[in-house]
Amino acid sequence: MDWIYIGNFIQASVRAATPLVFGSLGVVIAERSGTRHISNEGTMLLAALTGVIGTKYFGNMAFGVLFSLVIGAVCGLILAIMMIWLPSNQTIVGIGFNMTMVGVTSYILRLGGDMLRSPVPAPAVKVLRFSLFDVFAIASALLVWFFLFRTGPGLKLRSVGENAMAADAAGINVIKTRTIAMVIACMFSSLGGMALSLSWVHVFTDNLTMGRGFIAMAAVYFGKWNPLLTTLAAFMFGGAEALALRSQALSATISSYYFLMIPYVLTLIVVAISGRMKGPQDTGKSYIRQ
Amino acid sequence: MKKTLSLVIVITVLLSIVLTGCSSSTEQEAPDAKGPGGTSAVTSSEETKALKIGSMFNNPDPANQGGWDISQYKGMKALEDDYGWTVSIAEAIAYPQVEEMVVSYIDKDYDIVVFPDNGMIETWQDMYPKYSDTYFIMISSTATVPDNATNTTVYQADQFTYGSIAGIVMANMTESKKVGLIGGSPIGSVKYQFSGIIEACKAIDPEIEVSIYFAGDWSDTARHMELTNIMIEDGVDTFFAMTGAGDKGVYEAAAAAGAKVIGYATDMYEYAPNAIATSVLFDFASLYAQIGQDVMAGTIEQKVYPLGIDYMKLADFRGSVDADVEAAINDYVEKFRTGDFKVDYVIHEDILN
Amino acid sequence: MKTIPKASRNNSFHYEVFTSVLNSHFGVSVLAIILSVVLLAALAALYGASPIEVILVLCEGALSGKRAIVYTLLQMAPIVLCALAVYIPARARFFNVGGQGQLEIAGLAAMIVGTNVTGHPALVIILAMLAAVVAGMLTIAIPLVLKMKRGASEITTTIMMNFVCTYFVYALITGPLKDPGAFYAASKGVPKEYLLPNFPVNSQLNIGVYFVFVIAIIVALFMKYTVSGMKLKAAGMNMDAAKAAGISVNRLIVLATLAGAACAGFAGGMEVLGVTERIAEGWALAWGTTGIAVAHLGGSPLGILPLAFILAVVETGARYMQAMTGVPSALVNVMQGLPVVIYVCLLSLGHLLKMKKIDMKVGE
Repeated sequence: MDWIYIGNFIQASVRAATPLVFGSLGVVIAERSGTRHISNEGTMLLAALTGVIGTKYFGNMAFGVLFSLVIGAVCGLILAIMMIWLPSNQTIVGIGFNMTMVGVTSYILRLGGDMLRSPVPAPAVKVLRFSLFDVFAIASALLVWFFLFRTGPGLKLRSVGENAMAADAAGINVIKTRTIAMVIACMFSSLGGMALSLSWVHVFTDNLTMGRGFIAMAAVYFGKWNPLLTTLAAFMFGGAEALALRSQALSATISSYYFLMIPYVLTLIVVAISGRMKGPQDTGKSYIRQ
Repeated sequence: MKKTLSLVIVITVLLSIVLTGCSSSTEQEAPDAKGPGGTSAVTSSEETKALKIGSMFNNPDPANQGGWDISQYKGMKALEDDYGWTVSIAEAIAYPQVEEMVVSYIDKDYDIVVFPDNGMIETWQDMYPKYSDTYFIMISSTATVPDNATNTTVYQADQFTYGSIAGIVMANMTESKKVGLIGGSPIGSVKYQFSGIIEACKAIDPEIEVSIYFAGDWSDTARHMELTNIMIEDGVDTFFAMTGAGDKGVYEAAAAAGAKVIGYATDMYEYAPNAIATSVLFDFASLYAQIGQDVMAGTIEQKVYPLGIDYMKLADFRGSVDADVEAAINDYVEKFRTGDFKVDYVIHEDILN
Repeated sequence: MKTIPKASRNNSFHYEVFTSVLNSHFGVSVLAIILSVVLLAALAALYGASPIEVILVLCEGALSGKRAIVYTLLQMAPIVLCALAVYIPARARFFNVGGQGQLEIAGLAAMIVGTNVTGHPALVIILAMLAAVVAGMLTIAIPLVLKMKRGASEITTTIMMNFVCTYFVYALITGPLKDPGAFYAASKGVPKEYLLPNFPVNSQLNIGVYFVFVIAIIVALFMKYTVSGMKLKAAGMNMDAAKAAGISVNRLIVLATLAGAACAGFAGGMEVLGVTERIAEGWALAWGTTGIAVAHLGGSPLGILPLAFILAVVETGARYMQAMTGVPSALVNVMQGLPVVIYVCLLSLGHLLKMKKIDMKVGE
């Protein structure tokens, strides 16, 4: 057993998984409160850029992260207005938002010129070869689980996603709760984008996320909207991506594209075996106060 | 009443937009002053006409990413400054949309259309016989020009020779005797290029191991980075990436590990000073300047011009390697140019698997 | 709750115009386009280009000349089909987000038939299109079965299938189906005699495009005037009531979904046999994704047509604008996504205002 090889593989898997973990936690929070977060991909992409902008402008990654979180929260608010305050079809808003974000981020990159195109220095703090982002990802999973299942506000959030009408009757402000959930969800999505551009690749390029936001969604469905299972799924999918890249050396005949399919095929298999996908009942339905 | 009012407002706005659209189109109806058809469709008229050149790239930002595209883009744009011509470059054009772009240029009476990418060969083959008033230039590794063509020229990059030069550089630079190649998609020109690298390495030092990986696309930076990391774990210390915008990932991974990267087609030093040791340049600047002069003088010929070793040179090393290594490399390259150093022409078909 | 002061303010002339524009689909689409163009001009100005020139060139690229019409129609056709691929199953409450994947597999099937079967051109073409349609239906089979047997959310499963299909096609064209002579990732091309003929003959407009209009009209007529169409509508509105009335709801869901996938399949076949000739890197643009938006915003098979046309026109114009003015291609992406977002928001704003108005009228 080549321990060095395995060690490198684990490190690569964690690197690939971290953005997925944050992204999927964002989706869990949003969907548990009743809002579809197809906009996860676009939010991650925007945050990947704003993280780089903030780090370069302030000269310090901590401030860069803060800057990006603020923008992510604003993004969440705007999305909330479009999807929650207005009775829009959340899937369509998400799709349009993602497309627009690809354009907006690339446009800002052009405006920023060479300064924005150059890489950011790698994060200085490391824990056992893993970056702070990776460690915080695992911590976040526990945090989100605790919040959703062991706290009062978490219960409120879940109730709004399960049965908005009953929650409203119980006196919970559905719109406000969902809005707050969306803001928090987008902040997590932003952390995912930042993990990608600041911790992993150290630079922003066009469409950096390349569909990883959707892999994060697959992890949520795979993990049945439970933060811990979802995080496990995200790590598995990160491993699948790491495996896909190494596969070229392992096997000349199986195209690496088949390995890249793994997260999606696994999700389909799980759905086929496990039966009814028990998601929050009211996800995607606009709530209008009668 | 209110519904009709809103309808009226909307229709007024629409009409004004349509009218502006149509009015601009009437400008194109003016006849174009072209010389009588001869061996060359583009002749220098009595007045020095400002030529209009149109091109398109698959790449969404060809000015700043992807070695091959940067080189072409800069070469073409330089014609604007040098000759005062109009150079229009479309970005992020998917291959099925190339034809539409070309037709747009033709409609606007562009004189020359340049296809900078192998992926556009089919469109080129379809279009140049149909539109004899426009001149078509194809930069490709494979196209051929039939004898009766009147309005097209092909510039064929000799990828094997290019690869050989890159191989010479890498073989001399590597200290671990492990060299890594990254391709975007497994396509034909990559095969020729990488074969050149393999054979050159073999000729210089048969013990050198060449690892080859494909990212599966041209722009996923994270994937490119991970592939580079895999090779670094394996002991590779010198890299070459024939890819697009994803090359940033290669530079990042290499810089972090202290490995060296050879840039593709353009002097990539300004984009990654920590990683780029040197670059093997394709001199598109000279090429386009030459094209410009040929077109102005009416001497451009309808044939395949090879872009061979005369268009290839090395960028400044900037002290990235020891003086003796640099001297050895330059020595080999000189011998390669004169033919004293030979590289076996062997194409490795299995590269693409 | 005192509503009268609000009511008197809201019954103002401007408010009425605003709400009525918002409540007409046509008005909203025009408003959305105008707002997007204004934003585009602002972004272009920020970059350094002249906003007036940008707008003029955009309109020129979108509307002037034969080229604009032809290429707009060529873009519009697959969008309409992909929108129908969402619309028809949506009537049975099956939200097919997988049009893109169905289209790609269908294109693959058409290419395989076109490059391996010989015979009378009309026969081969028909066979290839049939293969495309069947392939599209096979692709949706997995999500369909998972929904019917397991109750799985089809939004999720179809999104997953999209990725699986895209990677699968890539694996094939860089592997077993690779054209040995190709210089980029491409399959063999379908021979010229087996491609869809063009009409008018000298243009690029293949006859598949005309079929698309016919299909949309047939779907519209079907939905409105046939018994099955009405059964479908009933089932979509209230499944339990429909079941109680003796309608076999499950059969309707399956047929509607397959019909939708067939439309996506037709789009894939039409693209390969009419435009691209082969499966290659980047051959399939985001018609599936755009189709989803168009289906929801168009609201009906006939409503889909003008909306698809508008989006196609804007996109064609934006590409032309980018080439001629030198603004970054990123703005083309913005012009693809922004009208959709603005459109959705305006539409829902209109609904909200209408409901508030009804609310207030009721409250009086």
